[in-house]
Amino acid sequence: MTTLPVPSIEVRHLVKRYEKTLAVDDLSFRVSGGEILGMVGPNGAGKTSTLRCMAGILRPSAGTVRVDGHDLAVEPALAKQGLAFIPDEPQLFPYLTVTEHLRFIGRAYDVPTPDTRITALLGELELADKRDAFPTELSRGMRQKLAIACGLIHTPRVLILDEPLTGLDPAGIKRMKGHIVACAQGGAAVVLSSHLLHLVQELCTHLLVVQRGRAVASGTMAEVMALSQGSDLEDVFLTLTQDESATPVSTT
Amino acid sequence: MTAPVKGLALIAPAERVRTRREFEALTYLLGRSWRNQLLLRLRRLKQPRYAIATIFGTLYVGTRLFVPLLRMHKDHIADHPAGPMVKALATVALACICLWPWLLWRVTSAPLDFSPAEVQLLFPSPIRRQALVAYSLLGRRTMSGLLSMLFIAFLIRFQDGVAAVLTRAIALWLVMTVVSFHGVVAKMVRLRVAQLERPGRWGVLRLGIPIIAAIAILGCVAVWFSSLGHDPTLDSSQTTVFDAPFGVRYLLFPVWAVLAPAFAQTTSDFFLTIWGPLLAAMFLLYAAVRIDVEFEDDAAQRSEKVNALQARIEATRTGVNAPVLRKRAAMWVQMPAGGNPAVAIVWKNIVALFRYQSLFIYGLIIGVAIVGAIVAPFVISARGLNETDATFFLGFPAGFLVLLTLGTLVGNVSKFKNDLRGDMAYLDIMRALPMRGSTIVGAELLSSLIPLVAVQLGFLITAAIIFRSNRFPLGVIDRLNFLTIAVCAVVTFDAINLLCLNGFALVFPAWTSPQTRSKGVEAIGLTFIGFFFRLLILALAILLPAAAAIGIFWLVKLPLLAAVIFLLVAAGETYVGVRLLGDVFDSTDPSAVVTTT
Repeated sequence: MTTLPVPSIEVRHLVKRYEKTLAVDDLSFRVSGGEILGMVGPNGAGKTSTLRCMAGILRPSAGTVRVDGHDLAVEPALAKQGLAFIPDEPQLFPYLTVTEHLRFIGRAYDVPTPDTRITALLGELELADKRDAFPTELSRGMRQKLAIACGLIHTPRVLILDEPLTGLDPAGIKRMKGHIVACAQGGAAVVLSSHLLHLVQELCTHLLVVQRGRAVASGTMAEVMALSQGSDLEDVFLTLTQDESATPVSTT
Repeated sequence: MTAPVKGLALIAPAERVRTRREFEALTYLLGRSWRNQLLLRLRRLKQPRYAIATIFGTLYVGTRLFVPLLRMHKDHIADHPAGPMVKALATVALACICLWPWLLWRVTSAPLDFSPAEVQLLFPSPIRRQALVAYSLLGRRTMSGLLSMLFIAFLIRFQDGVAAVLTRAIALWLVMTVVSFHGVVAKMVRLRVAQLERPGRWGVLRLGIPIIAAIAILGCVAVWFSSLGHDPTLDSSQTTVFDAPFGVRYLLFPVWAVLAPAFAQTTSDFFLTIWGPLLAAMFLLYAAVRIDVEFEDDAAQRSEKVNALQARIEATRTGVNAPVLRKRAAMWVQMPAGGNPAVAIVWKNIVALFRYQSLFIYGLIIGVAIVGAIVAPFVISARGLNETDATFFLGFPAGFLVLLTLGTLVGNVSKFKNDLRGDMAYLDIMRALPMRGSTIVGAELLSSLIPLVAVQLGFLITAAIIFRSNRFPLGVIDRLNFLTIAVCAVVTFDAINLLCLNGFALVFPAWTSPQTRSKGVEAIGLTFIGFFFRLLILALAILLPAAAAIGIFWLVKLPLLAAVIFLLVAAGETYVGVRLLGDVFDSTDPSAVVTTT
């Protein structure tokens, strides 16, 4: 029996450029299994571009992304095998039902017993009644739940979430928070990007503050809070992102 | 588990498993999507309007394609084989089409199409990019080509036999597939060269060598064909472009190899020549899969561009992946301050028209015509042309502009869709606006009518100016009368035509969805119903203004007044139509636009 390495995702000197726009500028960080990294920053800071590069949706202009030790550019299939990306705006296949979406994703990720997993996920996410519905017949929140189910079906070792709670009802938010924590406790490395600072403060063990594509602060939640001398994350965020002359602080 | 024997196992077991898994997943995605699409279409037939459209479409296809097919019984496939000239021209035309992406397409344009769902769900999955490329080419282009093959068969309708229809359709589909694959490969190669930091001689050569090798292989195949008597150049009875210099002749051979099955005279000829396009398609597919070009950014951006709704969301969210539009093009189109709030809708749509479509061509045409008219008298006097020649010389650009105006009556109502046909995707937002339905419909109608009439006025006025010459029999007053009558007729026709088209967008909201384009027999049926409905409405709508105009003309003998009356009565009718459509607008379910795609 082979022992899987400790899950991790490592971003080194990541640069993402859109023609003349520099979205991500030499960003480096690492998230190990069991850790939840909160990525925060103002609009246009490069969070989504970073997450999309990490998920393999976009190719970095420079730098590397390693998932479980596999370079996403060199061994993309191996790197993506344990990775899940849950976007803020779910894009679903218009002609696949809820169950068929999950079967397809299960097949793509080679999930051993997909039907058992699908039934469990549909029950957990309150989608059991909608198993034969098409995406256009679902509400915004239900589509988000389906996107979440697609991300969780293969029990990912690295979970990347971009505003995952958008559109969810209070019960769904509570359940999703539980899922995120459970994934981390199960040994997964989690990267969470959100503007909901109370959520980040509640769930994350580590924090990365990004502005104009660069890291302005990174470390454990307590370390960043202490470095910025803020009473809560909102103060820390505003201090770090509104001070144009702030020099990057890092504890890792 | 034993290790694979080196040299015997071409693909490692793990690789085989992965390939099989990718194949299964992607075929599942395609198969289920098609099946569900079909089921959704069947489910939609519960609505009478779609059922009627489907019945019409099925009847049309059935009577035009399948009934003639059943009557055919001949075995040979071409009673009248195409001559060498036709073959040569077809070959040259195909060669030009193949050169097009190498010379004229923008290097930055996305080589492959992926939907937003594919970008979001397939790109992060462990499906390799080679499989994604193959899926994009085979699963979508080829399969959509298969559907279009039916329509090719339907269009060509050879009267020579079932085999003729099938072989021609397959051959043409293969030609289309090769052209499509070739376009993708050309884009990928050009993009790859552009993405190399230092392409250098070797970088370009490394990409160029396989292409040259492929051309050489196809050339060999073609020479083989020619040795079997399939070379159109061997027929010396007619002079063709193949009689061009030696090099050109052999450069065209590979192109002919792709085209040859389309000209096969017997079934055995067809099966003998089918290898040309098949080999070309396979090679191009292999090349597309192997070229390591960065297509993700473009695919992500393009998928969002195609999906207008998604692009809007994305643009407001990040501003990074928004479609590349001509931002500055419409800077001068300023929204009037104050006035009716419906003006904002017209402004929005006209700005969108300037940003999405190039209107340069219309300005160019008018400009060239004016310059021609200015230069013409000098040329006439310099060359000492007689009256007839001069009339023709000056009348030609003016007549051309009048013809163009007639063309815009038919063509541009489909091109300028910056009205309800484009805004049905935003029906929920439009319905939330603090305006009556009829006001919104009227504003939407004006959004297309204003630019359309502006272009037509430009053509007509320029034509009238060009006619301003003593050499022509029409005086200034006569030309002014004709111009006014023409403008009244054009505006009336445009308004009623656009009213019908916008009405269709409202009554059949699912067909205006940004998600998919309408297709299938329903679309044919709907096109027919729409066409006849438009003709009927146009005829009925023009009856009353025409009667009024004829009455006025009969009474006072003033054509100008009759034209104005014609316009006014038509405007009244349009107003009533807008009010009626406004009621429909107020009662249309916004979800119908996206739920029944």
